[in-house]
Amino acid sequence: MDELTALREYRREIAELPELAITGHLERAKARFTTRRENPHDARTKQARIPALRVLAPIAAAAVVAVIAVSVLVPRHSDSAAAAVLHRAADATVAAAPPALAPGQYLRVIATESSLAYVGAPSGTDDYTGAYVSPSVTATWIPKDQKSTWVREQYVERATTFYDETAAAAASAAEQAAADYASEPHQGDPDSITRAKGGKFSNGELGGDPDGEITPADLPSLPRDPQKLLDRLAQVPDAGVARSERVLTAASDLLATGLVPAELQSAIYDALALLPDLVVTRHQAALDGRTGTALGVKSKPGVDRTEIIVDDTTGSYIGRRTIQGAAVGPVPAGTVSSSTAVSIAVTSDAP
Amino acid sequence: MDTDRTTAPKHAADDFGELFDRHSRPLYIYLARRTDETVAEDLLSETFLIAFERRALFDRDRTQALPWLFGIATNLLRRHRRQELRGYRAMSRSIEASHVDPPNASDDRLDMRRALGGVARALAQMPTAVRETVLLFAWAELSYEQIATATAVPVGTVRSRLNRARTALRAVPGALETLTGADHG
Repeated sequence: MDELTALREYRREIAELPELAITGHLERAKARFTTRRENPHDARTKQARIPALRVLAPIAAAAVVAVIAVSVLVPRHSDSAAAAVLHRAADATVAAAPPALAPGQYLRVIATESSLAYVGAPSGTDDYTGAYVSPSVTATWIPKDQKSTWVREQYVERATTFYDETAAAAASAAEQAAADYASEPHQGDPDSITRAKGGKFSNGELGGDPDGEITPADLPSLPRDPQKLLDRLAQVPDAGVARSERVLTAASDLLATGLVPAELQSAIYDALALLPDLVVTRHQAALDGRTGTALGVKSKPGVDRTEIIVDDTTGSYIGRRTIQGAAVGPVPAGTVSSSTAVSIAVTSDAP
Repeated sequence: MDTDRTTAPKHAADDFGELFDRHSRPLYIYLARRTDETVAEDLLSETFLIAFERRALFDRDRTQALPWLFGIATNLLRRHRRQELRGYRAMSRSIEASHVDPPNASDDRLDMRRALGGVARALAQMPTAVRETVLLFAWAELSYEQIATATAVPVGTVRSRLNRARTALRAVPGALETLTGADHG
């Protein structure tokens, strides 16, 4: 599932018109085309009709998502174990020396993302027969003066893992990956590098940040008191998502910016430790070559679960991943459906 | 791979009839989703008429006629852009106004209506090129390469426009969760 799911539902009733209706439309259009092609100088046939806007048809039925019950992951430790990990991470963060930028230097934040791309479903259905893992990289160079120009490079890399139900489905997934340009690396493509003053990349052009969203500009004013910070994180606009999940996502979004000062990062960990339903989901979770402790909110069977991965010995935020709660086509429940690893470094130049 | 190389460059009238039969359905559905069923009939016939008139300009190196036809249809849709935007805004407003919903409407149904209203609003706010790209991807199901052909831009531009559209759609509150059955809190 992705952010295009809702878009695909919008006006779907048109794609699901009765066969007879579609055939009728096509026959009338073909007759008009044929007549006009054979009588190109007939002004009457060239006159296009533009009827008044019709009232949009009723909304399509809800997407039917096959939810297959699977055994929920049982935490190996109690909630206090999660709190202990987070408090250790909070202490380690304060002790670690934050990266300091000299004039002309940049903070380079590399987010390496891997997402499952499902393929093979007949149009308008979720009956996928195959899938592949599509890796992508977003590298952001943030200048010392954050009001000046930031640089961002984004590109997809070669698809890595293919899931299939049959040999034909595997071929189809590979073909789809090729069609999606996932079979080749794309570093250096035109448009892969963008620049934005003050870090205002495309989101601003599309109407700005939604109300309540936390941006880097808000970092200095965020509360350092864990409970107050928790309340603020819960206010991010993400309606429909349970509070703990919303907090976890908002916290990881902030940590992934690379801009969170040590004392705030420490407060974020302490704030997350207040979530009553946060559990250690895996003690040795590997992401992008690094290992840390995975923490997630208890989820119902069949529902995807978000986890953050933290190195509690250094306080480093390693990344975030989503575990698929139900099987989708050939991809079993429990598979990591998306992950983002974050690494931060100081560089002396930017592309 | 499906190819129209033999029929595309110098289409006889019969060939064009065949081309119509082959590609008219996805084109019609796409046009109807972006306008309405009646306007789409006109736009579909107009698309093929323009294709027929310009058949000599059809690039011999192109192996597929479908993206070329979608490109023509996309240009024609720009004439209907204001009408299309009015549709999205009307949809968005009608849902915002429906906070007082019928007492028998189910919560899921109402969540769905609101999520789709958010999608309509996001579509209305997108720059034209971004909206065209994401709709060619999500509704017409063209590949990146086909969209690049249809809209005459490099594939990298298609990718960045899709990223922008995805960012905008991700910001629609509740859309994903409502449609995918995630936990409500």
